[in-house]
Amino acid sequence: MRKIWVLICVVLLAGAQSVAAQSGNAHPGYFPIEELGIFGEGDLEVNVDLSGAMLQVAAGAMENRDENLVDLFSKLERVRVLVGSPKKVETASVGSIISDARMRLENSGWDKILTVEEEDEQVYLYSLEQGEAIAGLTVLVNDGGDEVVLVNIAGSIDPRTLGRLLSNVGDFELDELMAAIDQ
Amino acid sequence: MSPRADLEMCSDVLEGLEAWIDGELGAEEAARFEAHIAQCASCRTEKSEAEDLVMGLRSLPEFDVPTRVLHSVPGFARPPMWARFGATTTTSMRRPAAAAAAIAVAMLAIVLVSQWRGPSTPKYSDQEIERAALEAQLALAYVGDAVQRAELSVKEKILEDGTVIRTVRGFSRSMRIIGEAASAAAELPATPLPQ
Repeated sequence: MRKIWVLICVVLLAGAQSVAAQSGNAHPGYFPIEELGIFGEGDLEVNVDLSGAMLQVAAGAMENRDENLVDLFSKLERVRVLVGSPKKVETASVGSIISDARMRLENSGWDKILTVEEEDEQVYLYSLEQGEAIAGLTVLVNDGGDEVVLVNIAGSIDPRTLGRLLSNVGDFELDELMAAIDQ
Repeated sequence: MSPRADLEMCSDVLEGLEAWIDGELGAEEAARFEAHIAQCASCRTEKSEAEDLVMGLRSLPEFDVPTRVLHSVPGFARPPMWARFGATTTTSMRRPAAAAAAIAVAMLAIVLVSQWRGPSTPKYSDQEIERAALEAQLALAYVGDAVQRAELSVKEKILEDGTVIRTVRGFSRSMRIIGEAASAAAELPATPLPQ
């Protein structure tokens, strides 16, 4: 009888973990960009935080859209976007914080997919593989300290779907999307 | 070979250099070019520089998902999850503790699924859903933007390197042609000036 209770406790604990995972924070592809401490109060121009449940609903509502997009969104667990002009920290510190973040990503098994390191602009894109898919994507952009972009997408991302979507990046005009969101 | 024929051959080699390095020349022409650079130092230099350029371009960073992920995507040949679960429960039913655990798992799964799917639809307004779809696209747009910035950076580097090398090559070619023309002229028999 004791064994049964032990097993039930184990099952309930696993269930609790599963509920925690639903929020996206426990997902391996989640990277806490909000904890980097780059932005202070009032610095953010864009602050997106979408949970898996919301993304599922959004994917369902996009039935008439590109099927690659619907497929991608339906398997995401968490999407975080932070864009702003950091006033809390100095320009030099932004670079240092981003370097620390890169080190954390690399030490946690993330792969650097691309890098742009120019005098006034640094762009890094990282991915985390999990089995046959990408579990997370993290973008770190430092535009000379004037604008910083931090993006984390966690979920089960099919590389082929992502590749197809990114080959049509022109379909996702940042300005147009920003304007549509602001409306 | 006469100096004029040499100059023509140099010109042919320079024109066909790219195709030669890419292995796109016919065997006969490639052999002709090989024979020429064996005796022409400047064409040899040109070829070496062009090969360096090609190697340089090939060594530029590529930005793509890791290939081992790409290669591993196809091939989902696993039995469906319910079939695997069914097989497990059939054997487990022989033991009461395992059976109870299996029932507990099934019940918990039902509760979790109903919690997950149930409230999601009525919870969000149409406006919220539309905004979420746009925001998710915005996240993807930033990934695309990063890719575009990297592409632009690489293109700029290629352009920069290509321009520099082309300028140097153009200058050295001009100097060589002038030099060879001068030496060819020196070899010609002196022609008396018309009276």
